[in-house]
Amino acid sequence: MISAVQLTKRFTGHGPDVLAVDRVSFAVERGEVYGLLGENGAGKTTTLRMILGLLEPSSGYAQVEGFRTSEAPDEVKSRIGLVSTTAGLYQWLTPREMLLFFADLYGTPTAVAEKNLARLAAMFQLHDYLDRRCATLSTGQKQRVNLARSLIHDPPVLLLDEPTRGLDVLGSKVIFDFIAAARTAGKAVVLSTHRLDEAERFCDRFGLLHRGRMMREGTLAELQATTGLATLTEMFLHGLAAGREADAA
Amino acid sequence: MSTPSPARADSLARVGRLTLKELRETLRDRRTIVTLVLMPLLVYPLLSLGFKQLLAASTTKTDPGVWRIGTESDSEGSRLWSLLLLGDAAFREQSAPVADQSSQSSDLALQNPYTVSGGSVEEAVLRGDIDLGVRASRREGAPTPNFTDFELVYAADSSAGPAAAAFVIERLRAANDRYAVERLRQLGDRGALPARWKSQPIGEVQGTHFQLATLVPMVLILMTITGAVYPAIDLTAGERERGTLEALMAAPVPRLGLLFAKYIAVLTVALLTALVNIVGMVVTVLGSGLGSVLFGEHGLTLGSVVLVFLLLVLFAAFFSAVLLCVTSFARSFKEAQAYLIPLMLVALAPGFMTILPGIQLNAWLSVAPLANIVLLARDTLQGQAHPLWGLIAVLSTALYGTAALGLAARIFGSDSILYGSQSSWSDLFRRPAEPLAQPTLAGAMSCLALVVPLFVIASGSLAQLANQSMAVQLLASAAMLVVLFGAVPILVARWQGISLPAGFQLRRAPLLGYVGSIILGLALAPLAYELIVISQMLGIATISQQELEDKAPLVQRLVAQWRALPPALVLAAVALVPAIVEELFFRGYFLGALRGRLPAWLAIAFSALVFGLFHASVGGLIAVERIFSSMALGVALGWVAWTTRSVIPGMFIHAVNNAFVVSLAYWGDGLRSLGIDVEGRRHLPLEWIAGAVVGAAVGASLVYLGRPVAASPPLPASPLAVETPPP
Repeated sequence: MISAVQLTKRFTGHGPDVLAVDRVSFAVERGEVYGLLGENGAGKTTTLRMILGLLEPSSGYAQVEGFRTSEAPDEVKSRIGLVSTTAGLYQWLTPREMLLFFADLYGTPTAVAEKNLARLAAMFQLHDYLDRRCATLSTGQKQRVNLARSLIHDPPVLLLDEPTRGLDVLGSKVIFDFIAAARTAGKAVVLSTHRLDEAERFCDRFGLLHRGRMMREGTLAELQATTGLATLTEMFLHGLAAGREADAA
Repeated sequence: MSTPSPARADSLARVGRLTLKELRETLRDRRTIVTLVLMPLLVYPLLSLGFKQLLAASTTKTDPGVWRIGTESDSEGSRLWSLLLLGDAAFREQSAPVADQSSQSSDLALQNPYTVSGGSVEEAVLRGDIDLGVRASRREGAPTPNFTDFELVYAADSSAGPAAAAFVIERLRAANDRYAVERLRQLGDRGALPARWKSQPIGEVQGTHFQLATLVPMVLILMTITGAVYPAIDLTAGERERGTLEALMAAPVPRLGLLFAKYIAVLTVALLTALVNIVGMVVTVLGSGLGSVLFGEHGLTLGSVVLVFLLLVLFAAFFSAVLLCVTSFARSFKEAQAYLIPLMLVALAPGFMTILPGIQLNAWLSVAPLANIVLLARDTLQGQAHPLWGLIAVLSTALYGTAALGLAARIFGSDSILYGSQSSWSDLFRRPAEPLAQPTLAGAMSCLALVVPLFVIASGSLAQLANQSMAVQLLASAAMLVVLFGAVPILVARWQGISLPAGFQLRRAPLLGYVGSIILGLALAPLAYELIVISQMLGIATISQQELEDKAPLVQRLVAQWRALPPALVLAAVALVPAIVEELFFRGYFLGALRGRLPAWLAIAFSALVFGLFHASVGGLIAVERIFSSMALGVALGWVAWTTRSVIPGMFIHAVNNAFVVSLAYWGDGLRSLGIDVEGRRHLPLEWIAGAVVGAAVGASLVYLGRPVAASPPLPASPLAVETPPP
């Protein structure tokens, strides 16, 4: 359903070039949650943005349901729901107005959009503030509205970029429930996070990124078998140490 | 599970709904409402108070009727008054225009001096009771009691005091002169003095209201800008800062569609601001009675108000595009403000210059952004707009706006703006990493926005060569065309890595294309001529018979100078060179940029419109009839270039057409005998027209039959996502 093939992004400008993502490849199937893991600056967000078509790859390509991002960006975008930590809301609109607006942007017919809105309002308990201005909502309420926004057009693919960053236990639980529901609904989910413990609980397969490169990839069992280590955290730390030794050499 | 794929047919409607959302969000913000409504409510009444104060101050300076002159006693007052009356009569006799004999009678506008109540004149001046204090004392040892010494007292920081003193001194000096002449006469001298003079004011009185009249459109424009600034920042940099831009860009809506919706929203708010301001201005002017003072004897008319609003629409369209271009580059609200402040200062400087007295719309100012609209609005309000400079001001502003929107489209939502990768303003003008397959829309519009104003300025500058020989003038004109319409776009294209064949359609056409285009050129030239005559006959013309007759001596002198030169030189400079470079630019570079981005008919029509407007001026006059004929020719040339994928056949057609016009002038006498007489507005013989129509049909058929059959290289995907199969 999603495949990234040799995705590479090199930022060029006035300073030295930055190789943010270096030939990263992976695939995610329907009903699967894929954890794209790595430290801050590892290239997770850049990879997701290239899949979505917000950033143009320097080389390689991404594909969603058979459509290449570079060739059919609108087809790809219409199949993806994006949840990002940095996403904000329109302060002067109500959640209802905003959700219907995004449904319209995605070409969802009004009747379907209304139906989706009712379903999502029940799912994320939005009813109490569906017609209040977004500026007046609490952080948790805003987060729920953002999750609903990513699902308003009922996409088959979800990209979650650090969705639990800055959230408390309750806020994080909403996200975990959301991921579980998406898997049950048969969506292909890519979860980018640096919280390895969380990822271990919710993801089916993992890709460990370090400095833009895919260090390891596979299910937890596969990774444990290859590395001989028990947890993702141990694998990650081991990988970091190996990287430092290689750099020093 | 539904995965709707947005239908292209719905994309325009969606952009419309996107615009409504942007507007809803913007208009719910109280800050917008404050700018929109409250500011005009405050500004115009305050401005009218300022105008009145200014007018009152200027009246105080110049009108003796309002000066207050005081003396310490009645006798001093009557002595001063009698001498002022005497001196005023003498002064008028000396300086009044000869024709204005009536003004020589003594009708001194000065009020009779009055006696100050208590204290000295100095105290009365300092208290502000009087503008000028006069102390009169009888001179000791004088032959008669009439001899008086005057002492004039006024406040140093007053404007009225020195003016009143100067007025009194002038009259007293004139009284002395008359006394001296009388004395000489009594002594037997005839009283003749070596110098006599008379003054003869000519032209119109340039009162202060002319400068004040410029302030009104200036303020309207400033307020319109103010209305657009906040939404422009909020909908671009503000949206990025709030984190909503990424979600918007992740939606399957073309980037240009998103930008266009934002542009319409900003423009709408700017126009609402302009409308509220126009209403505020009209109500204030009518309420304050300043109409005739500011805008001349007719005051403020409905027609002029509507025209000025239309100018504000144009200006708002231009400035909204500029604002979006700048704010799209900013990554935060603060950064956008930092960009806008210097931009506003730079933009407003020429606008403020227009307040200076004596500034008129001319070739230079008609292409100066903002200043051109301020001056045109001023002239429109006064009912004195110059058609040609006005048209150039309107067209250049429209061009600048389109170019700014093109640049905004290039940077809005791009990688570097959305995610702040290493970039700077210079990236906007950086050579593309990969050579481009065709000119970009932004590049073509920017080039047009650069070339057309330069052409207006250069054409005006060529008038300085009037003293040079005709050969020099023709060569200079041809060189100017080569540089502007040839060298400039070629340099831009080379910088973008665009090859000449791809960028300018400068490639060989099939043989049939050349044959067809020569026949088409021979047929279109008389048809274009006939179109001008028909337009004139139908009254769709802006050059009257009288104007033609007025220009006739000039044209005859020009033609006589042409005839003194070899025909080859005239044809090369006036027919061939313009044909080559204009085709290179309009059908090669400009139409090439539209190819694949607009449907064929729209691209050809748009390029023909630009081409027609470019040919709007004839000898400093606007010729609507020429616009129609040039547009029709532009459509034919566009179709030929589109069909043959080459500009060369069009160059043949264009050159033949130009040569036909030159021949009318060069061999006019001979042609008139054949029935061709454009000055006389005579139709061509019917058989000529029939032959031309048949020729045009045959030529067009050959061009079509000879069109290239090989598949063209694929064009880049259009941001507007409009597919345009070749005709």
